[in-house]
Order: sequence, then structure tokens, then C-alpha cells
Amino acid sequence: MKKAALAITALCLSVAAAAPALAALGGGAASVEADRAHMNGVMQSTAATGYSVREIASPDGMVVREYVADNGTVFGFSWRGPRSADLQQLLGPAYYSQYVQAANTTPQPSRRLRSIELPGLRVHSSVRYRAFYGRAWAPDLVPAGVSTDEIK
Amino acid sequence: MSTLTMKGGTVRKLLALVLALLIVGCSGGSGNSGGGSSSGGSSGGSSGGGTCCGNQVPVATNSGPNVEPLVIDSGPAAAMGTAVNQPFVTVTVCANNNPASCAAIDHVVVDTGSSGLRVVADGIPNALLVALQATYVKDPAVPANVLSECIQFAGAYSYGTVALADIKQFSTSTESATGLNVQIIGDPKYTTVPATCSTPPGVSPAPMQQDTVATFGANGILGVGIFQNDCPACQSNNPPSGAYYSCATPTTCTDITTHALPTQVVQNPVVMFPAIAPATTADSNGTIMQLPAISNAGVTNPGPTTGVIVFGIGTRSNNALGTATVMAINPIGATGQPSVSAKVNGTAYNDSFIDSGTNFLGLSGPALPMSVALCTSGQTVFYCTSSTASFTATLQGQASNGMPTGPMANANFSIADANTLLPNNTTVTAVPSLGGPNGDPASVDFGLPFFFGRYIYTGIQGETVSGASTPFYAY
Repeated sequence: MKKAALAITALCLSVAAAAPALAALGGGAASVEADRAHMNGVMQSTAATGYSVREIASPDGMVVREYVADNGTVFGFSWRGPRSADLQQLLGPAYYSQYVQAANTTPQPSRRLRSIELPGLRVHSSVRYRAFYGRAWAPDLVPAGVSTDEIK
Repeated sequence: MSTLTMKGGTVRKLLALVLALLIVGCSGGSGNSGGGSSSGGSSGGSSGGGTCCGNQVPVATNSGPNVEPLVIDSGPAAAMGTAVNQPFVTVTVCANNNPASCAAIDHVVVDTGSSGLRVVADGIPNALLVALQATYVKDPAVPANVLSECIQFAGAYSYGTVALADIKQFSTSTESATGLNVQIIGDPKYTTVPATCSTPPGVSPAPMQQDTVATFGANGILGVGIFQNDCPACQSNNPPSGAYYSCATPTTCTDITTHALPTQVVQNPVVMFPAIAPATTADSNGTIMQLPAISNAGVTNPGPTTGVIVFGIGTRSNNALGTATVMAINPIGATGQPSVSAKVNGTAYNDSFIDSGTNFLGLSGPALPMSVALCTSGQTVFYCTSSTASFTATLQGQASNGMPTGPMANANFSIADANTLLPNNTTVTAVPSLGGPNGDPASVDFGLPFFFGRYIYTGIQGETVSGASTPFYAY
């Protein structure tokens, strides 16, 4: 009996360790809160059909919007501000490693725009006159009926 | 490895067979400058003709001291990959008040999307580099300290010192500038890149370094964009982090974030041009890019010069605004970036811009048909399509509140199959109808393909142009 309880505890711990504590994309409300804390930001929520938007504003002018499906999963985000995004934080380890691998092998066609398109991940970024903007989403997490053009 | 504008193949410049130069004469032309600024009903039958005929104007034999040829070739030999749709000029640069140091720098890319002249250290003669290193611009708060700068591009950065230079002339244009702050990208005396440039806090992954001709893809960049200089925010006492640095030594450069840089930042060289005698008006308020329409067969360079940049707007008989449609630019659009309003197939794209520094038409969002998607092989950063997609588009100015304002101009364009336009091992260096993604679903990046067959005017903020408020685009 005791053995079983221990096993369950161990299982819970390992789940907790594997949970995307720092990951927003694919994570839940806790991951949005982790992003907010990481940015030292203030958060506002707005509701839309099929999802809600958590907008995090940091003291230095960065704005990150996270798009949370009604089932609680973050399916995309956008950013704008005086610097580019912390994609390691916002994508989480699994998506981030996919992104880095693709970014390292994709030629850069423009000084303004950068696009990485993978089957399970889209990341677009732009910069003009030190103003940064971008957005990312996981196509297979986008709720049915929601257009990715709504991530902005 | 992120060379700009690589084409898929590894074509190294086999000094080209000069293929047929296919400049499409545009029928029904409306004589000089401008033509209709209609609100774009006609569904631009641009099959085979690229972007042809929206406000089409023939590229005349424009000449004068304010006219400089644009060369769209495969780029400098030292660059990784070959360039496509990159307009280059030659600029004769000197250290300030040092005529012996002057050198003609070829393959300087003309960029209407940034401001400032930057030269890449390993792309200029060593004598000029050494002379520039004797004219470093200093931090006004600590006059012994050398100023250095970080400039951010998409996913990449370039770092180097700021030096006081002169532009003696261009290859044919005799426009000049004395005492111009320029950036020396990759200055070998200052190779320690400050962390806020190479690994900015709160940014991941770190941007890639582009401080050599090989990685930068040009010997320099001539930013002739809409702002007076490359850091309007540096006029305040709170410049942004990661822009300018104060260097007591080459390895101890610190962010300048608490005092203004009133005259030290890198300026738009155009605003520095003095009048060329006997003229009494300087050609310093903007530019016109004049490139001919080309067919989807493209153009191979080196070959006949295919276009020009004209300096000044309404300052001479050869640069009149004429009947071009003027579009006010909102300096801070919804994304924080300078924007005008476009409508594409009925959908609003309010974060749009015109940019000679992007070599394709950047479009995503609702107007992009399902049939147009990233190429899965070959030119994998551009769009492929089974049949050329034509877009009915208009461009309009944008007020500071983000609302469209002023007259609309026809902006029809088309996107063709990138692997057909640029097959493997092609020697084509200029193509219309090259499309690619623009992550902002409310933005069209009207890159260089949009310039073919149009006169694109860029009016600089703070300058006076008769008949228009700056900043603006017009064509």
C-alpha cells in the first residue's frame, strides 16, 4: 500500500517537473502567470468567441498578448515593443528547440521580416526603426472556427 | 548563416552571360509622372507583366547631378549567396576633411526602410578604415569616450563604432555630405560586442551577428528612409537600451540611456546634402526610386543600368512630384512601426509600408489565397503557387490616429511561383512578383518588386516638400 502511494507521489512529481512551468504555448493559465511574473508585468484579460486574450504589459514597454482557448490551452501569442521577444520563455522548451533548429537553417530573406513555418509551429517577427513586432502560434492547438489572423 | 536575400542555389557569380534584358514597355502609358490615382477597381491583369501598370511611368533618361544609377546585380563577391532584388549604388566615402582617404565603395544597398549610412569594415579599403578610425564621434557626456552603435534587423544585429565622414559623391551623382555620422559595422578595433546588443536581456534566441560583408551581404547600406536619423528617441534624455554605447575602451562600452545624443547619431545622409551650384535649393527633402517594369522572366545583371535614384523632390525640373498620389505616413502605427493603410482584395492592411530593403512582396492574412504557400523545396523562404495570383490593391495615407486619410492610389500586384522566377542556378538578379510571408496579418510589405514600373517617392519627416506634408510615400 505504502509503496503504491510513493509511486503515485513520484509520478506527480515527475509530471510537475515536466509541466511547462515556463512555457506559454501549449500551457495553461499557470504558464501565462509565469510569463507575467517573468516580464514583471501587469495583466488584463478580454474575452472573444472561442478564446480569451491575456495582455501582459511590462514596465519597459513590451506588450505580450497570449491567446487562450476555452479549454485553457495557450494556442498563440503576439508581442510588440522596444525589443524582440523572449521566445525561450514564451514558446517553452519543446517548441523553442524546434524554432532554434529551423531558425539556424533558414536563410533570412529580408532585413525587416523573419518567418519560420513548421508543420506544428509558426513564428513571424519584424523590426523597423527599433520597433519590434511578432506573433506565433501552434496550428494544431488553434480552436476550430478561430482564424489565426485574430492573433495580433 | 543568415545572409540576406540568398537565392536557393549556391550560384556563385559566374560573371554572367548577359541575358536578354527584358524591360517591358508599358502600353497605355500616361506620359510622365503619375497617371491615375484611381481607387483601384481594375483587377490588374498583370499576367506576365509583374506589377505592371499601376501608375506606370516610363523610366526616361533621367540625368543630372542628383541622379544616381541603381544596379541590381548579384552583390559583392565576398557575400555568402547571391543577391536578388537588391538595389546597389556606389558611394565615395572619406573620413571627414581628409580627401586623401576617399574611396569609392560599390555595392552599398539603398534602403528606404532605414536611415543612415553604414559601411562594413571588411568591405572598404584599409586606408579609409584607418582614416575613419581617426574621426570617431564621441559621447557628449564623456568627451573622451568613443560612440558605438547596435542596429537591429530581423533576427540579426550589426555593431560598430560611429565615425565622422564625408560623402564626396556617388558614381555619377555629385550630391555630397560633409560631417556625416556613419556607422563602421564590424570595426576591428571594437570587436567586443556589448551584451545588450548581442544577447539583449529578455530576448531569445539571441540575434545573429552580421558584421562582415559575407554575413551582411553588402559593403554598406544607404538608409534613405523617412526619418532624419536612425534614433529619433535619442533626442530625449532616455534613449533606448541597446542602441548607442559610450566606450572608455573597446571592451567597456556601456549603454547610453540617460542623456540625449543631439548631434551624434547616424543621420539620414540625404538631409545633409547641400545645394549643388548653380542650384540654390538642396536636394535634401527626399528621394525618388525609378525602376522600369520587368517581366517575370527577370533581368540578369551586370547589364545595362536598369534604374536610378533621384535625390530631392520638387527641387529641380527632374524630380517634380507632379500628379503622384501622396500618402501620409503614420510614424507610429498600431505595431509601433511607421505605417500606411492598404486594402487588398477588400481587406484592410493598416500596418503597411513601402521598403526597398525588402526584396519581396510580404503578404499574409485574409487576402492570401490558399493556393499560395511557402515553397516546400528550392526557394523555401518565398511563395510558390500553381498559377500567378493577382491582387487588387489600393494604398492610402494614414493619420496619427491610425485612420486612413487622403487619396487612394492603385497598388495592384501579383505573386508568381518563386521556383519558376528563380530556378536553381539562375543568374537572374531582378524579378517582379516575388512574394513571401509577412507575419503581421495587417501588413503588406511593398518590397522592391513593387518598385518596378513605378516612381516611388519617399518624403523625409521634418523636411519641406511643396504640395505634401512629410513624412510620406508617393507614386
